[in-house]
Formats: sequence, structure tokens, C-alpha cells
Amino acid sequence: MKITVLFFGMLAEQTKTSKVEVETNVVSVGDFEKAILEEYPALKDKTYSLAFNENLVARDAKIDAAGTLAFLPPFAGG
Amino acid sequence: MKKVITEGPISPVKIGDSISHHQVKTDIGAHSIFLGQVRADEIDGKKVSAIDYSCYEEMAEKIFHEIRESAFEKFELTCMHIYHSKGIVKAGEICLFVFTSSRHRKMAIDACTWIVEEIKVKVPVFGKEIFDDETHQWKVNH
Repeated sequence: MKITVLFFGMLAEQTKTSKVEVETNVVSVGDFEKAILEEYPALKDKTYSLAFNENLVARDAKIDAAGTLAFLPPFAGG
Repeated sequence: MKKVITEGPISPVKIGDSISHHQVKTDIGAHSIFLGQVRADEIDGKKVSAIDYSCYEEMAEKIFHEIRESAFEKFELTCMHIYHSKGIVKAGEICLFVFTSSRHRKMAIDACTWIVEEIKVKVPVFGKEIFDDETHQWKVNH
């Protein structure tokens, strides 16, 4: 299945991209995240939360269909 | 769904217009307004000249909508408006406008405070603080 990965703010600065598409068979958010960190080691020491299809998700959540996983740095609204 | 995110700073004229639009709603007895303004913080001898806001817009609008729905459930509001900037907002300009109206002051004030706190914690908005020497750092809400 195809996962669209989004990076925002300081994370996009680290990865030098804001969007990549990844073909994967991985089924948990945490395992998928590990694969992304291998690809973009600069993210390893950064603080972020993850959203799958616009909802915050825990690492043990399942990815059971194609969708969008966003890496969100600390919020700074207001 | 009403859009919250707006390009650039929120003009004081827009805020004034928004207040005057409520003069026909005569069941309102109290308005509460919160305005977030970009502060020219000084960090290591460098001054913040602007914040460049970016966001995960689809998710941000969805969460603004959820905050709006919850606020109507929790507080007796007549109406509510939220605007948040994206893009460059210079020091001294307004980046957030929260406007709640109710029959009485307590509901309007409490709702306004609650909404602002929710926004700070839940909405995926990111702020690049740009210094006067054109270097930058990323803002984090505390």
C-alpha cells in the first residue's frame, strides 16, 4: 500500500522535503516510523508527534490502508 | 465548514468590522476578544522581526472545527469567530483573533480563554521566528 509522508516546519528543514510517497507492507505506525528514520536520520533526535489521516496516532496503531502519515513538530499557534 | 486560517496578519479594521457586524444581534450582552500579537523577543542579542506561520492546513481546519463545536457544547454562546494567520506576520501585528459572544460576560470570557488554550495545544501550526539578521529559529508553545 502507498503511504504519503508529510514533514512540517523544522522537520521539513531537516529532511529537505515536505512530502514523499512510500510503498510499504508494514502494518504498525511505529515500524513505519522506524523505516522513515532510517531514511532521514536527522529526525532521530527531534521532537514530533504523528498523525495518520489527520488524526494523532500512537506508535502501536495499525496502518491497514493507504493514507497520509504526517510528522508534526511542536505546535506554535496563537 | 468555516475557514479559520487566513493569509498574512489580521487587520485591526477586520476586527473592528467584526465587532460592528454584531450590533444587529441584540440578544448579546457580552463579547470577549483575544488577540495574539507577534512579540519582538530578543534572543542572544537578536530581535524577532516576524513569524512565518505554516500549518498542516487540512488537519488544522478540522481541529479548529472540533474546538468550535466543543465550545458551543460547553458554553452558552451566541456566536464565535476564530481567525489564525499563516505566512509572514511582522512583530506588532495580529496573528490570532478569537471572538466569543454570549448573553452574559462569564460565558463569553470563559469560552474565549478555553478556546485560546485549546488552540495552543491542539492545532498543528508551526512558527518560524525570523530575526532581524534573517537567521531563524522555531517557536514552541509552552
